[in-house]
Amino acid sequence: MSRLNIAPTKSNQLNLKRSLKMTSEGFALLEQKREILVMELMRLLDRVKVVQQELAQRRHKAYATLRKAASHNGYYHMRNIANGINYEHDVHSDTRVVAGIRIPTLSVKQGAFRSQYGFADTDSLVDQTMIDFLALLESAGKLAELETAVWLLARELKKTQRRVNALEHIFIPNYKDTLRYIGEVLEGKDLDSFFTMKMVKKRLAEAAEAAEAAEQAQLSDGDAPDTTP
Amino acid sequence: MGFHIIGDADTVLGYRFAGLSGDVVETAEEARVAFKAAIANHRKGVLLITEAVEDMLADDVTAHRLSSKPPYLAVMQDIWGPRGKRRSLQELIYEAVGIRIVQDN
Repeated sequence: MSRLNIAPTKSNQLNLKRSLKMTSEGFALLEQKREILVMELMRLLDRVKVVQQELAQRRHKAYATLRKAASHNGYYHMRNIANGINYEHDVHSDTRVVAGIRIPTLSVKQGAFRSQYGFADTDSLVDQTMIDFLALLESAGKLAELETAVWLLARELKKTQRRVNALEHIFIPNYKDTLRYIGEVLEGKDLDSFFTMKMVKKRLAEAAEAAEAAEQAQLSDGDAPDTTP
Repeated sequence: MGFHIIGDADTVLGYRFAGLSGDVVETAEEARVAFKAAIANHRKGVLLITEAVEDMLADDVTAHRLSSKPPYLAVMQDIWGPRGKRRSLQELIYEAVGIRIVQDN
């Protein structure tokens, strides 16, 4: 049990009631946001699995081909060939919004495979390297999109989780406890004042009675000499 | 626009065959300079970095990822094979969602 350090007054009680209402609404909203984020992440998880598998396959193939090509043609020759290769890859990015977070979506337009070096002093392994790495690049583009989305969503989810927890376990119980405390104190005060009023009323009544009795006595005292003799 | 890669000489050579521009880096200092330059120059593109580079610049890479600005990052394995245990995207998701799957041996 923990409560806020504020004076138990009627106006504070009203303010707190308003805060509690707002907090509860915020809690419900954040809870919804958390659910949306979890759903989105789980949806991405399926895609991540597929893309990573595809990427691993293509990467194995491409790296193996490169090693083979390098050992056949020699490292320096490969470097010379690579210097002459030029593709126009175009990356177009868009954003979609999930639970208030802007997430980029990428669409990659790759240059189509074409031979960019002399046939005379290159072998088919060089061609294959190029084809394999172009395929690998396609997966890499997808991975970039997924990585960005997952990082952003994961951070947002952690943040939301903390807020939900803070509201659920600290703010709302605090407000409730404080409200209960203020309610009790105010009720006690009410009872006190009611009792005081009763006492005052009783005393006033007694005083009035006494005054009347005294008056009566005085009256009868004043009358007596007149009537008795 | 397009792709760019930062990594060691051999990995970069491979991606050069797909027509990427690339920076060859050996030390953390070189990597940091190349990474900063790539972020400044390659707006709206995809920046590939190797696992080795990611390890060298862990802080810068995380900071850039969370800034949600292009270029978008993707981490690729080095040509010499994986570099030890890494936190995969799946694990990142599980951690954020709060599920952890424990393997039963």
